[in-house]
Amino acid sequence: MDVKALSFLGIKGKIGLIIILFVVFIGITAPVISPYDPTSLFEPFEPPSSTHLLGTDDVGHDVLTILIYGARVSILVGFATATISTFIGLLTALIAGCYEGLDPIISRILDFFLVIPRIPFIVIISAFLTPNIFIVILVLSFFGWAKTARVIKPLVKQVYSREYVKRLKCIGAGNWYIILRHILPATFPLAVAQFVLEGGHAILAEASIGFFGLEDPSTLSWGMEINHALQKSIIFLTNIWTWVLGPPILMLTITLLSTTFISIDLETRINPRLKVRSW
Amino acid sequence: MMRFNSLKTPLVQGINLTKIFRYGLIWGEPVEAVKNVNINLLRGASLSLTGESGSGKTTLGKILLGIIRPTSGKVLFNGIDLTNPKRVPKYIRRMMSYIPQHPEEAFDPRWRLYDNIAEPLRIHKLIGSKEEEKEIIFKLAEDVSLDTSLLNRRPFEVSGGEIQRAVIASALATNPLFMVCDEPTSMLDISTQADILRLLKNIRDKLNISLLFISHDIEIASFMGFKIAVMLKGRIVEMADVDKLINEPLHPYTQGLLGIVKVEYVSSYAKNCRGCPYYDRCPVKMLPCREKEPKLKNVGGDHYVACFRY
Amino acid sequence: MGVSRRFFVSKAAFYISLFILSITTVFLLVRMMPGSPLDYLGGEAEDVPYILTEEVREKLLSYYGLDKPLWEQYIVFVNNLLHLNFGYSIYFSEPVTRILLPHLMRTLILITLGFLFSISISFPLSIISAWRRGSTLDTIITLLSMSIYSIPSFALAILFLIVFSVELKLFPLIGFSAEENILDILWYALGPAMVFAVAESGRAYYFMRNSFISELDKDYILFAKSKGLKNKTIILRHLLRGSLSPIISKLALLFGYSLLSCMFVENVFNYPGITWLLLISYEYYDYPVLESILLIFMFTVIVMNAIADIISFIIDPRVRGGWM
Repeated sequence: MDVKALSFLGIKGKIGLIIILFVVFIGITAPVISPYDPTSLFEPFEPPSSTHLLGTDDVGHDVLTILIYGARVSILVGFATATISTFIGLLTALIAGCYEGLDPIISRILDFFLVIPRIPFIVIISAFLTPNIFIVILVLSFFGWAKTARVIKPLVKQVYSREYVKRLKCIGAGNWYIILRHILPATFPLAVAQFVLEGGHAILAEASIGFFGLEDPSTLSWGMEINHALQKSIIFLTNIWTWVLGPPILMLTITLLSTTFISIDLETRINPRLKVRSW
Repeated sequence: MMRFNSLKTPLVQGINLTKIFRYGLIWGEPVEAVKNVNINLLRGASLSLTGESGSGKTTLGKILLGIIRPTSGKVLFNGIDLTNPKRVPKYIRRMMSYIPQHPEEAFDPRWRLYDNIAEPLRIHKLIGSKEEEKEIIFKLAEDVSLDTSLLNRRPFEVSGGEIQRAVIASALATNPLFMVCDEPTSMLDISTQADILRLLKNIRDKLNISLLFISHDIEIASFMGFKIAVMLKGRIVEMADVDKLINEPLHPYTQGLLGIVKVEYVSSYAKNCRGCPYYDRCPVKMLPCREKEPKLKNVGGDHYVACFRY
Repeated sequence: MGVSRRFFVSKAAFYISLFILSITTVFLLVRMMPGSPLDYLGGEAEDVPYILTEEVREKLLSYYGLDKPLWEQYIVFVNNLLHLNFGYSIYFSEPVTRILLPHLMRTLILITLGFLFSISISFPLSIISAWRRGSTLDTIITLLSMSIYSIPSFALAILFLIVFSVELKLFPLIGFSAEENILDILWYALGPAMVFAVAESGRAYYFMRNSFISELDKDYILFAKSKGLKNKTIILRHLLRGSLSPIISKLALLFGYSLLSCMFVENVFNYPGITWLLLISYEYYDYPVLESILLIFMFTVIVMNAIADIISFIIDPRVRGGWM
């Protein structure tokens, strides 16, 4: 539970950080480093060559370009969702943990959010709104904050019941002073671990939405690319899948792997007994 | 003893305090932690609360500080009601301080001792500059004979006695009038205990602080207070000046605590009771004790006792 | 006794309110979806909406009770649910239960098979690596399970398809046969179940290892070790018994969620399970089917939560608040 946990990642965490920074770099510099414009079309299903390093897909997009722009979508969704849901979740946890009267109500709300099946509901919601990435971010944050709140709340309660908090209250510290100066710093490492975890979940969820073909068709994401590829069973008859299906899956996997590595590394540092929740 | 009679207006006044804890939202069994307690603390006077664990000493202490809100009753601090926390002006808080039981719990483990000691000053914005603050902190550390080289360490890097000194320094930072010490020495080893108690006593006398001293050990309680109140199951069962209470205890429970009468061991007894709180264990119980609760009454010379035999 | 009754009453009240809330949410979300089931009533012509005259349209709407205001529909819906009547599918023109049950059965077969596989992989591995915590073996298994845990399950499924169906041609590429033979069903469920098992085993391994480790840290295990008991005795008699309750209740939860996590696997394998039905009913606005499926998802999670609560209550006396 030390702040040092952040500056000092283990080997797993460092590897994860390097990978994620690499993906972030690709995403940010996408227009510069991608070989073609994402809208430009070529012959479909061209095998990898010097003009198309990773070949082209079913409609004739350059796979490498799509891949690079897909990093942008994944990182944006992951980062934004993690930011929003960690912020709301942390705030909820702080309020529920520090205002005893509100805790039962907030706990019930959290319980309700935790039984909502995320993917089927996103399917339904996509009927209301075309899921462009901003809608996706909002929806994922809507479903994601409760988990963060649930994880952080016990720690907030534990810190809030410490004697030094009572002592500070007694000498006139306001509730928000205590929350900001003492409780927030104490929960900060856990919140960061949760941020990374939530980011990974969001990237996976975004890819899943794309995988079901529910995203705005113009979105260039890895999930959509996989969905398009799977629609054409021809890719399995020849070795087309090696360049149409392989790269997006590989990118998605290593991105998710890196977030898992970082979050598990952070959590082992916060809780040396290695208690990692899976949900 | 002298100072006890010197000022007649009570600094802290607890009127009919009752605190019922309810565990669980709707279904919890209520537990009376404090029941119908009236308590007065004069300016510069010092009172010790003693009693077995679970008797409500700590709860009463926290109620008097306004940290816990009583279920019913009022706490007046200099005439200001503390039970409505929103109405309490901040400067009132400056006049109180609290020394919790576990010294290592009393400070934020992430902060250096220096910052922890300075925190009350910062909350109340009592200092202008960094230098001034440093001067005050070093002075405070000197007052509690804390080695100033320790100030840069974090709480878990120093010993329990040293933290306790730092906690006392922090408690003194705002020049409080009223201080609650909740078993400040129970977690320390014997020799450190004596040092800390002596320190507290000196400070109390020097700064004229009203001290509410909570201890399960009646010996320590009598060392620290002018007056002692004995608590049992949330009630005050006997209250008197130290000499009187030690020399001629009236309530059978107090007699038991002092080892004058031998108390039978009773394995279990009800948490809440209708009659006298000591009924289960009392060696001299009488018929009415079972059904009726004895009231705390003055038996002469400011000696209060709650027992039907007096 | 009083404590446990209180426990059950408050828990029951909570779960009932959760049920009501989820029924309402599902109802509102589904019925307020833009679009109407009648747009696709033709059924055969998938992309061309069947052209209905106003008159027929209104008749059909009133036939399905969709012309009433929303609150009346809600009352009818809840009333039907209370009588275990899930309604009549608009797209399939059959009672929902008749449509739903075969698909649900297939999904249940898949997840049960997968669950059994996944536990039989992860259980021994988790004991080994908890027992020899910090060893090279533990590190390798943990890293491996972390990696599997991070790979999206659809990616695993695609990988499996490519390796076993495309390259080795061991399993069929398409997820079902027309015959309703139990062996056939099992055969088609085997591939997805294996993928599902691998995907889930990472998760299962992780929490089992953690509960074993926290149990191994307790003093009584140390005491048993110091008595010189054999490792086997300690594991069988102390470790398993001690950590059984958290593991079983967590497994119940995982099983509840697996109905959801198998969606991707089902989709990749074109397995005719509940996911397929969900997507079809979503596409054709088949309100009764869609509502039933969503409710099944939510109810399973809620019921499994409740079971987890009850199991930990029965096994672990500490939950009851004090020793018996």
